[in-house]
Amino acid sequence: MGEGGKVSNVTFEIKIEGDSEGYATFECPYCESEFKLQAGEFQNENNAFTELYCPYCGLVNKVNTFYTKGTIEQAKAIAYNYMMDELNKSFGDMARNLNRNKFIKMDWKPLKKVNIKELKDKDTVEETFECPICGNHEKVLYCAGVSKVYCSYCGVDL
Amino acid sequence: MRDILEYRRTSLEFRRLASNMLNTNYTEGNLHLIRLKIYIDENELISDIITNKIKDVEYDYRTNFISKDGGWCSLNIPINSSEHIKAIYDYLTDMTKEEKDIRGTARGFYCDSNSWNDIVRNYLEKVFKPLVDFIIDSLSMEMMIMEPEKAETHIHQNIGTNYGTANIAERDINSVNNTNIDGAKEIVSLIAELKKMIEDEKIDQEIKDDVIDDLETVQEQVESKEPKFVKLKKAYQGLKNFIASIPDGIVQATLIVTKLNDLTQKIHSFMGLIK
Repeated sequence: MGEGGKVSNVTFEIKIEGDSEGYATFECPYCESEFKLQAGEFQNENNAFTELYCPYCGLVNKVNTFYTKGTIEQAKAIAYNYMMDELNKSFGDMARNLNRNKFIKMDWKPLKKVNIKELKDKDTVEETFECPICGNHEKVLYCAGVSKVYCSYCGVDL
Repeated sequence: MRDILEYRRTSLEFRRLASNMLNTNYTEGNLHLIRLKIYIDENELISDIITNKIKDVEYDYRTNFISKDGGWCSLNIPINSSEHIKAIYDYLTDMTKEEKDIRGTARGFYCDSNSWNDIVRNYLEKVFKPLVDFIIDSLSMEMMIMEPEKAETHIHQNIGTNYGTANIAERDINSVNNTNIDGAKEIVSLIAELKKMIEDEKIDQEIKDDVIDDLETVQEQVESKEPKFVKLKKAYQGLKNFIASIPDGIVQATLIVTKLNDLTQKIHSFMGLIK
């Protein structure tokens, strides 16, 4: 913002409905493969995770880089709608004030908001793994003897 | 004979360094590339993998690997995968001879974004990611060959001075028990190494005291004739929490995490038997 402008931080909450076992989908920023983590473990307050490993390629990055494209789109849509709400509020106030004046009239149409899709994970055919080190779980597409799978939390091979 | 733990440790360390390299911040220049190159050359497992792949391969990356067309650089990837790996490795060698800013090289490659970080990361991924994937896959394949028992659902159990193996099958269960004092010794030896490493680190004294206390509790219980499950579990949980939120500023973070992971794996097996 320019001089005199105000910068404010607004926090939005995004809800993702997990599959029938409470697993939510994540996407690797490197190989773009999808995997699932149990929501309860991922949001465990005793273990605040700042990084995740991709179970397929094993590379590590910050948690926020693992959100799926759907989640990022929803975050953008929520932020866009918030911005539209704020602008509509400002224009509404401005129009009310101006329309009290008998010389100047203001006519305006409220800006349209975008639809926000519900994020819901379906049950899929992944195999569930439990890490022997940290005890957390993940669901991945796995073919025994063809590839290795890594724990998303501590990075060891499973 | 190389053991699987060595492969696991190498894989974890390499994946961390490779991730750091692919996420290089433009202000860091080629620092992470240099670190990765040093690790590749100094680690015997990885240098052997590379040597086996590119020995007797005649390919000079300078001739055609990177070409400039219409202002943008593009990669001419050889069909032969060994030539591709050799080209990347030789190019990596040249790029890491001295510390330098890689923005100039990186911006030669087309990128959708105008951010310097994106431009640098786009270049690193385009050029070096195939080498990273090749090394990770090769280490994984070696590990899979070394642990065929995983596919056969074997469970290994360490009971302090006892070592037991139970083979689970659909119809029959065969159990073999023999004595082995190596398990407890390995735990104690790992604890001694970790204590020294953590004590040498400049981290918050309270965090340091907590983790040392957990390590000492584990040692005490492992050496005890009647180890207490609850005490061990508490210490195990404490170590896991330390791994999950390893503080900033630890110089040997990767090595400490690897050793702690080895240790917690051993403690987990130990706990399974005294429960």
